[in-house]
Amino acid sequence: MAGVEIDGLVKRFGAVTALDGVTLSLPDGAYAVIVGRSGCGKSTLLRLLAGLEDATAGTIHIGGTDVTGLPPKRRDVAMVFQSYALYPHMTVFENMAFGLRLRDGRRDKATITARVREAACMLHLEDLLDRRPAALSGGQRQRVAIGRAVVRDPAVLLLDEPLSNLDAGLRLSVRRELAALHRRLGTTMVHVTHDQTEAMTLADVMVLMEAGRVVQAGPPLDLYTRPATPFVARFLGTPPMNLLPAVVAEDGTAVPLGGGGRIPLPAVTLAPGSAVEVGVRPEAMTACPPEAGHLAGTVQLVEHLGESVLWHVDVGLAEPVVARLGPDATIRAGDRTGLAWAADATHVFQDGSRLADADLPGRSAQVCPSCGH
Amino acid sequence: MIARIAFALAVVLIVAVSIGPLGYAVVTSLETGSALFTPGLWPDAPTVANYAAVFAEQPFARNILNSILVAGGVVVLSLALAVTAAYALARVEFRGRGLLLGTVLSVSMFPQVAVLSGMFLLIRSLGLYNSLPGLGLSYLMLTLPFTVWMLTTFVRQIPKDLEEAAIMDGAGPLTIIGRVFLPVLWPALVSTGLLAFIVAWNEFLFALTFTLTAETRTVPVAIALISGASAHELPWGRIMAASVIVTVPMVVLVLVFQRWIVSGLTAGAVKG
Repeated sequence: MAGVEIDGLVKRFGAVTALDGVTLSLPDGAYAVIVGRSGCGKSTLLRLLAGLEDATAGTIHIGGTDVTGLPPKRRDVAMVFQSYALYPHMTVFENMAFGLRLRDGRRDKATITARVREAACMLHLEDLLDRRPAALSGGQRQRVAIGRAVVRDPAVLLLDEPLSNLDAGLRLSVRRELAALHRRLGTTMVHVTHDQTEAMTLADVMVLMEAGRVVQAGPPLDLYTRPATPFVARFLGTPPMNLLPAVVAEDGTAVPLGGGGRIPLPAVTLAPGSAVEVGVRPEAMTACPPEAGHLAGTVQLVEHLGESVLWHVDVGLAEPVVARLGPDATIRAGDRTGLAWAADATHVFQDGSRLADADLPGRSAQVCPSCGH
Repeated sequence: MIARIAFALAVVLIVAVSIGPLGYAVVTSLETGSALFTPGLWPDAPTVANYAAVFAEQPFARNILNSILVAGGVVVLSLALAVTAAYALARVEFRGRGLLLGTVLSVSMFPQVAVLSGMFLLIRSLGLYNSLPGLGLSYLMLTLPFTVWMLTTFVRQIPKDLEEAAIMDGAGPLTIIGRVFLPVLWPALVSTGLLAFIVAWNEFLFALTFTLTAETRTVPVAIALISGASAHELPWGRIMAASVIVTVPMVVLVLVFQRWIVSGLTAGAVKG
């Protein structure tokens, strides 16, 4: 078991920069989920941790040891591949024993058998040990791939989009199994995905990447409730947070471009005339008469989702504002409505970073407006 | 209806054209004397005298053994060289890889006659003239280009993840080739090896040029040199008997392995 320290990691493929200075610290035993859109460098980061790619610059420490230049087999890491990459000509047992036999060739057969059986038992694979991968279902192959990785008891377990090849129902149950496995093993796990639900539900530490950099890292709820940048704000949550370009007025409120309302800003002092982005999550909004809310506009579209209703409200901006309301909220497209929300649901961004932590009482007063911390 | 009849006729025609010569060879091999020159679907008095004569009048058993040794050796050597070359050509990034692959391919386009004299000098200078190893060496020139190409295509189709999974499990390149790639590749090895075997088994020009004595001859040459009692007599019966003896095992081999040959031949055409 070991923590992972990544410092100033850079990876270039020719002229393309895949990782642009990643610094990250994962404590021992953490379940870290690296999340981001495709091409953000998350898989490259995982491959560098595995040792399948060499770093252009920067260092990686695992359990206090500098492993930057070490080949995969000397890093004490194991990896679960997106395609599972099971050896098709070997049985489940041989698949899991292969790495043990190669690493500890002198170890006696009984020990290898015992360890494979232990891992198989943990993953409910006891009855499948004599089968070949071709005779397994997708979920079973996934469990074998995980078993092959954990049987070696690695210091760090890497998972590359482990759920993306499973159908929706199976994904849910494997997700639960992964969480249970982590509780049981206590191994540091690094999981790469593009699925925010996976990231939110599994992570102790959620790492959001964009364009080869870490944008924000921390507990998932922190990222959700206090997004550091508009990108993080838009990435998490479905539908995503509404971001309204606005200008600060003389009275300290923000007026969205298009003049669709007045939004009181939390305790931040901003010079009148400054350009800001005001963010508010769809589920934070409530409906009110047009003149009573922070925003007013015409309903363009009403979407019934069963447990809630989405209103797409045109407030004079390029994008409509989306509000998620209770299932009994009734309105017709074309009607005018007002939208209001609690003061601590307002997120303010300036020049691409967060301004106020209004949702943390006592901190908002000390916020430094230039850096957002 | 007309289309189906036309289709059936076409099938019959194709079968007749491809099976006909072999069938006629079988029929002829069972006839002697003037019966040879009366065409028919089955001989009036079938006899195995020709088969006995083939083995009695020359060291034909020795010739068959020579063919098996040379073709078998060529298959083993070709596959061993081609698998390792294919791993490098398909998986290792190096400068000039495309050029090297192109060169290998262009070798297979040389007509045999063009390299005959050069190959003769090479074999003689190595002291391998009139010997089976010399013959095997020259056949490698015929088999290696296509075995390397076919196996390179097959290795490329092996998912990269599989190799990386083995690396994560602590395997080096030789372990990867031996314990992961070879077992995955074995259908490809069977079909490629069989094609190489057929090439070496049927080869005539090199075999005729690089051997001198009856004891080192391979089957195709031995058959061509079967002669009758006088210069004016061609012993058709014995020639056909010898041809059937060497053809039937090939047909059986191909039928047994045809599933893999088909997958091998199309593997290069469509990228998986």
